[in-house]
Amino acid sequence: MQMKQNWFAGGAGIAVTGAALAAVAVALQYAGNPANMGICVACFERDIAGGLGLHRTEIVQYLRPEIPALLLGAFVASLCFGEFKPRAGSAPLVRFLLGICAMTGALVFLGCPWRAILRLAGGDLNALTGIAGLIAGIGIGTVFFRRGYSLGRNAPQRTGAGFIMPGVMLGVLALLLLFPQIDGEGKSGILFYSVKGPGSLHAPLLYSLGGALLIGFLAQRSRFCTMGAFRDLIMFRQTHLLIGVLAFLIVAFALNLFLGKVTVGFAGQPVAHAAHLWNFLGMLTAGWAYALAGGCPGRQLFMAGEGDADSGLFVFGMIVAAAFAHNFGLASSPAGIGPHGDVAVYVCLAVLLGLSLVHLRKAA
Amino acid sequence: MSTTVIDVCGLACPEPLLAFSEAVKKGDVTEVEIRFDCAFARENLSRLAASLGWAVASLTEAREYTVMNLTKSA
Repeated sequence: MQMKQNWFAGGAGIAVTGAALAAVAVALQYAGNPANMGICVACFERDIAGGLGLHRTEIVQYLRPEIPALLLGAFVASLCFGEFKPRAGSAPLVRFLLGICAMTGALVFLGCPWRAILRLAGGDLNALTGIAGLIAGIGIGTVFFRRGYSLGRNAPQRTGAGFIMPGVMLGVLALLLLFPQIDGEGKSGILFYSVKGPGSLHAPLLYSLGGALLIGFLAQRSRFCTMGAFRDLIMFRQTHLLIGVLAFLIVAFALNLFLGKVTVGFAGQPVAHAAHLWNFLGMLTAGWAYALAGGCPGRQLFMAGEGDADSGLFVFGMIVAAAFAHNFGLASSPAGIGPHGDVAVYVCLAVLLGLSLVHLRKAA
Repeated sequence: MSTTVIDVCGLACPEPLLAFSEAVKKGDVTEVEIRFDCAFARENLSRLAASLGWAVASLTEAREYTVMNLTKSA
C-alpha cells in the first residue's frame, strides 16, 4: 500500500500549526482572554474546575470553551483521516497521578508550556526560568526512558469507548450554554462565574470555540507537542517538533509587538510571580510528569480526542489537581507561591521519582 | 542475514523510536521489521531512520497495525 501523505506532519505543517496557535492565542487575548493567557490548557482546566465548583477561588471560575473545543477539533480530525483509534489500559491510575503532579507544578509556575511561550512572547522573562525548568524536567524523564521506563501497552477498545471523552466535553459545552453568565452575578444555575480577576476575562464564545477547534484539528494532524519538542531533541537530536514551538514563539512575539503588547521584565507581569526558584521547580515537576505521560497538556487533550482513554484520565487528573491546588493553598498568585506550594512540589517530585522507578523494565 | 522483528503495538512515542534505535545499535543488523499502531510513529520513525542512515523499504497498513520494513543504507 502506498504511504499516505500527511502534509501537516512535515516541517511546513508543524510550523503552520505553531503559527496558527500563536495567531489564535494572541487574537483571543485581544478579544478578551487574560493577558499572556490566550490559550493555556492548565489555567483553563483550572477555571473549569472553578466553574464547576470543585474549588471556590472566586477569581478563576469559568467553563472555558477552549478546552472542549481543542479536544473536539482533534476528534473531528482523527475521524476525517482514519486516525480515530479507541485505546486504553496503559497504566490508567498512574496517568491520573501524573496529571495531578503535572497540574500541581503548572499552578506553582502559573501556566502550561503553551502559556510559558505566550508569557515569553509578551516579554515576561519569568517564563525563561519556567522553560529552563520544563527542559530540565523533560530531561529527567528521558533518563528513565533510556533505562527502560514504560507504562506498558494499551489495547484497542470498542468504537463507542472512544466517544466518551468527546461526549464529556460536549456535556461541558452544554452546561455553558444552559447556564450562561448573568452580568455581575457569581452564579448561574449550577455553575460558578468570576465577576473579577482572570476568570472574568474571556473572549466571545464563538471566537473561543472557533479558534480552539481549528487548533485541535491542526495539532492532531501535525502532532504538535511542546514536551515532545524538547524530548525528541534531547533523546534523538530530532528538531522536527521544535520547529512548531519556535514558530509559535516567533509569531506570537511578532503579533504582540505589532499590537504593542510586549512589556519586557520580571516584575509586575500579568498573572505571574517572580519567585525564580519556584518558577523553575514548578515547571520541572510538570515537565517530568508530561514526559512520563508522553505529552504536554495540549497533546493529552488531542490524544484523548483520538480515542486514547489513558490521556483522558490525565486530563481528569489535571482538573482534580486544580481543585486541590486552590482548596489547599498550593497554587501561586501574582503575590508569590501559595502557602503550601513548596511542600506540594516536594511531594510531587517524590511521587514522580517513585512512579519512574516502579516502571523501569530491564532494558532489552 | 535475518530480519530483526520489533513489535511496539500499544506503545506510544518515544518507545517505538527507542526500540528501533536500540535494535540498530547492534552492529550486524541490516534489516528491521517494526510493527506499530501509534499513528505518529510512522513519520517519527521515518525521520529517525533517515538520520541514522536507514531507509524505509516498504510500509504495509493492516487494520490494527502498520508494518514498516527498513534497510540499512550502504
